[in-house]
Amino acid sequence: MTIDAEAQKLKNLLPDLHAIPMDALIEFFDALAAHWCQDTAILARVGYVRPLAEFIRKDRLAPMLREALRGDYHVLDRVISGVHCQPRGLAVHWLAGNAALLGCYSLFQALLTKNVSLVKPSSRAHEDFEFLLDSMRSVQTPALTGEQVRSFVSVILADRTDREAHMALSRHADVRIAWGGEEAITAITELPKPVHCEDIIFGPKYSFGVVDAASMRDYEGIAKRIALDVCTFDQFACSSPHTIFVEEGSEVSLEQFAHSLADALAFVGKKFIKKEPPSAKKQMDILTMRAKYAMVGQIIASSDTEWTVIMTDEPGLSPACGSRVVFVKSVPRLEDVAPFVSRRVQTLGMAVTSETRDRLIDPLTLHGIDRCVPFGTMTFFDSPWDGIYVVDRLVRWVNVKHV
Amino acid sequence: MSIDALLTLPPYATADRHPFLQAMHDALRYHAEASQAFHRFLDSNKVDAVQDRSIEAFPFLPIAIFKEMELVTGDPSRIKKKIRSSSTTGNKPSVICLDQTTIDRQRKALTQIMADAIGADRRPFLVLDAEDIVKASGQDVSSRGSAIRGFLPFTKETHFLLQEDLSLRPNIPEIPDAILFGFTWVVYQVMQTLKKEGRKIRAQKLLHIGGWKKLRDLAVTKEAFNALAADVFEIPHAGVIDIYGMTEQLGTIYPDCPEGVKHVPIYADVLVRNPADLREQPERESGLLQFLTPLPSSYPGISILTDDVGVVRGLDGCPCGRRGKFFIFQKRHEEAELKGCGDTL
Repeated sequence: MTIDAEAQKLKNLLPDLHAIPMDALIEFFDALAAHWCQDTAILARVGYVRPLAEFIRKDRLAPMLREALRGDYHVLDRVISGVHCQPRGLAVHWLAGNAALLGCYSLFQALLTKNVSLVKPSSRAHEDFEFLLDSMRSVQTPALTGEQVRSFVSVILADRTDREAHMALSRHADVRIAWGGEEAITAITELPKPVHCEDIIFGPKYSFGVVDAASMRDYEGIAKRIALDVCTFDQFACSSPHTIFVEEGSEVSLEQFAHSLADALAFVGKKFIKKEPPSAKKQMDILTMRAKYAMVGQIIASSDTEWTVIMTDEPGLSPACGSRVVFVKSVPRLEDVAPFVSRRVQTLGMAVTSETRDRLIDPLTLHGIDRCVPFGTMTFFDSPWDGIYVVDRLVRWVNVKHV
Repeated sequence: MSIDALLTLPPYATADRHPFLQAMHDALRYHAEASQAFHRFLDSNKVDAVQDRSIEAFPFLPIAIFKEMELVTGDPSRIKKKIRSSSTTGNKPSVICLDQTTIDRQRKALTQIMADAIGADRRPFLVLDAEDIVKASGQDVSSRGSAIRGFLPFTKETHFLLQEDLSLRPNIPEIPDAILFGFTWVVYQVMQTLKKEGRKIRAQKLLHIGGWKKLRDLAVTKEAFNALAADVFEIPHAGVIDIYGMTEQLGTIYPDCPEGVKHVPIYADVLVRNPADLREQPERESGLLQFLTPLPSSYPGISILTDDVGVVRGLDGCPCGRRGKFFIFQKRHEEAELKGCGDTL
């Protein structure tokens, strides 16, 4: 089937999706979450499915939808207090290769706002993505079958150089959702689109963390939580931390903290989150980082390339090597980090007292940073994300005035 | 045996690796003492430079370290030249700092290896490049220019056949016993032009260097390249010599022998490492190529792990008569890099 025909087929299904009550959709995703967490084949095959399952549980979804839809998500079912919500129509998603499952977050939010979806997964991860999508078929709730919900999504495989295909995808979009690096995002946003089409961009981002001197009393606990953030998605997500700034003035030395982080990375890797085998290229990157900072800093590393902690006094944000390479550095005051913040920084992981938090958040977020969260939750998908309420951008608000 | 004594030996006369190993030990100890950065690297990897070790146990630097840092062993004021790699992947170029000792050693190794490949007599060279490329700007030399200059001592006379824009000069000298020489992708461009225009340049041999990445992007195979060379230069397959080498270890180059394999000279060694765990691969199993040579004295590039893929085909007994280890270069490691969102920085 051509992209034109596939898009038309989905648009024809829009009234069917529109007719499903919001509560039925939420129940379905809650059942899907339960199915994923019980199915050992899914858990074994798709790493990181648990955080995604957490995200679509009813107790997370319902408040998120309520918050983004002005207090009552039923506004997508009917007119409430003079307003009504409608889906935008056909959402076209371009997913990234670095953390393919992140694309599920935007896809599920599109479905929950009753948009039909055409998805172009990355060639690297499309098999796992489709496997997960097809697992919907095994789920059934009193109101919905997985087969029904699955029918509202079509997957299109297209080479990144196939400009015709990408132009066709863009031509039919009522909303374009793009995940990826700078090059991919630029290529997608430059495609012609209908004038009414909304763009939701999840571009390249960097994340880092701060620890204040007072919180260093619990440095071992902090190190464990940072290790979880580093190991989830093997540091390939936008929200993965690459640099941790530690405020000077505590009794715990930077070296003690770095060793504790190294122990935690080894522990988390062994007990909780196994590392995906890195490519040879990535291993070379890790070895290069290690060689460089063995010469101009200090490294603590596993005997293989599983994890690396680098101590350096180089100022600023260190390179994002990924694959469990984390830099730790000390700063006299956490405010000193502010000059390094730009719109390219997404998540700030924190282990600070409430006083430090209240003092820091406004100056640090003036020029960037879209999330400030405790360590251990940096990679949890959340709303708002990248500075926007995604759900809100996926709907049209209809102003209804009664005579 | 000292490094300089090693360089007096013919490149492929023996399979005995003891003189090489001894020279490598000397080199390791020298760099450990004379390079603070390398010393720290060894300390961090718990390597005792004084201790004797097998060749497999020599610590290696990943090749990209030369893109990250300008490494110098000894007194920086003794640096005569800085060679910059061509940086074909669009990243930062490698910078290699050479002193006179390193230059002399690399020249000696190159002379011995080339004499073995094309004979000791000087020959006329037709260089498929522009003369400007070999001109240095201060200390800095491009790797393409440096590689071409390295071969000029083997020439009786040199003719550069291309203009600055890499188009053919209008008048090409006819020297049928000449050796054509150039970078693989430049040579290919010239061959295509000649083919299109129905012209020929006759020569006895074609030496080409610089790797296949650009041609592989165009899906040009070695067979297609050699067939085109046979057509436009009238050089048979055995006369087309593909030379592997790297900016990070100039001098020790690896030309194809008539059997189509590359021999390891006594001045170097090649190991193949498993990309998954970096352990040494058994013979005939492919992996990442590691190159060792004791020649560099001004930078610690004596043992370098590359991202190129190859396979050791044998340890001795190639039908061509050369002794010692021989290998095949298979490809640059071209697996698409998994980029994280953090690549934004």
